[in-house]
Amino acid sequence: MGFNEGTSFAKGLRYDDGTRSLAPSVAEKTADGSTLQPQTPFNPDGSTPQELQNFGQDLSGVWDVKPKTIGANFLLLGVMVKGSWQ
Amino acid sequence: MTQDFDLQRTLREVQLNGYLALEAQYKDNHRFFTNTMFLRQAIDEARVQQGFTDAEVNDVRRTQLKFITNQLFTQQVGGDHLFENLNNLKIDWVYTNSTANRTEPNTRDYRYDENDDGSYSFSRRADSNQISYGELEDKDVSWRMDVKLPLEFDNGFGVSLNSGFIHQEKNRESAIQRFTYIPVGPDGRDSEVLAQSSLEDILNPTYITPNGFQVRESTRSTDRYNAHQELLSYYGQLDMNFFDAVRVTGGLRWEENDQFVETFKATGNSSESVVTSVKKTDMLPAVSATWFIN
Repeated sequence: MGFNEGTSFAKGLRYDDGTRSLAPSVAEKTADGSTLQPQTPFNPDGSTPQELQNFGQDLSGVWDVKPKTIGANFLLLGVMVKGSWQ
Repeated sequence: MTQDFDLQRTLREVQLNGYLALEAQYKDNHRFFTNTMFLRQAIDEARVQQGFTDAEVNDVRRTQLKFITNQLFTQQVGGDHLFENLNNLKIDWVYTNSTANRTEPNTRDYRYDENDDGSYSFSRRADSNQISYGELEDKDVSWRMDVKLPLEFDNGFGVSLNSGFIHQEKNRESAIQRFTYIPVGPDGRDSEVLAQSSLEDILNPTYITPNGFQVRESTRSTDRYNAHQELLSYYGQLDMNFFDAVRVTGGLRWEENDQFVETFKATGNSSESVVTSVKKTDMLPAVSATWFIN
């Protein structure tokens, strides 16, 4: 077993490059703290079936685990300096 | 509950740490220092566990894909000062500013259940799948100062006057969003569709339709909160020494604590803020005596 294709280590220190970010359409819809819920007579502000279909398709991406060779774990020590003046 | 699972896991961790310390001293009486620390950890993990649980008739296979980052940045500036011409007055101070972050974007959990013929199908249970996004940020800013004035008298009597304060302000913002695909149409319950071994062949635009699966937000009411704490405490302390035989220490610590947490209650497709706060002042006196037996 290895990592799936969506978890690339190509970024080195791996600040996420946005690959794993929430889909923009969903992020925009929920930006004010609201949640994705279907439109009903009791919840007229909810999302329509077409909107939910679009959100669902935007959210779904990589799910499978595929064998892949990965590099070793590593620890990188940055600057370690101690200076003193008297 | 009895469970017997085989777990296969691949995990890769990358860490970046940095530390910078500078110090300046004037004679033996004045010292200034600064410390800067940066820690970052990234963990990429894939895990598959398969086996038996007595809560189910057949075996289950759970898969999780997860990427987590933790980061801490701390900056500290301080000083120690001794003023000999002011009766050896001593002042120590330090300022600390820290920010910690944790992110867990696009964690995917899903489940396949064993069929009677030994094959596996995408589960129809409520916990069959979930995508979650988590973020947390902690900020901590604090000031501290301690002042000490020792007084010596000729008759073997010594007094030390101590005072100081700590001001600490902490903020936390935490949010998790969860999403689940539920079957809403015939394709979502079609055994041939569910029997496909790759979930990418199921949860794709072909079946994410009104005839198949529809996304729902499954975020819990406890998944998002903000918290704040501001603590101001100051103290005065008297330390008396009688002929190196008896030592009496007494003081008073005063604490003002202002704290609140804001959670959110889901109402329809919106969320309503719920705030709980504590504002309290405590006065904490203390006295102790020590007798030195020669």
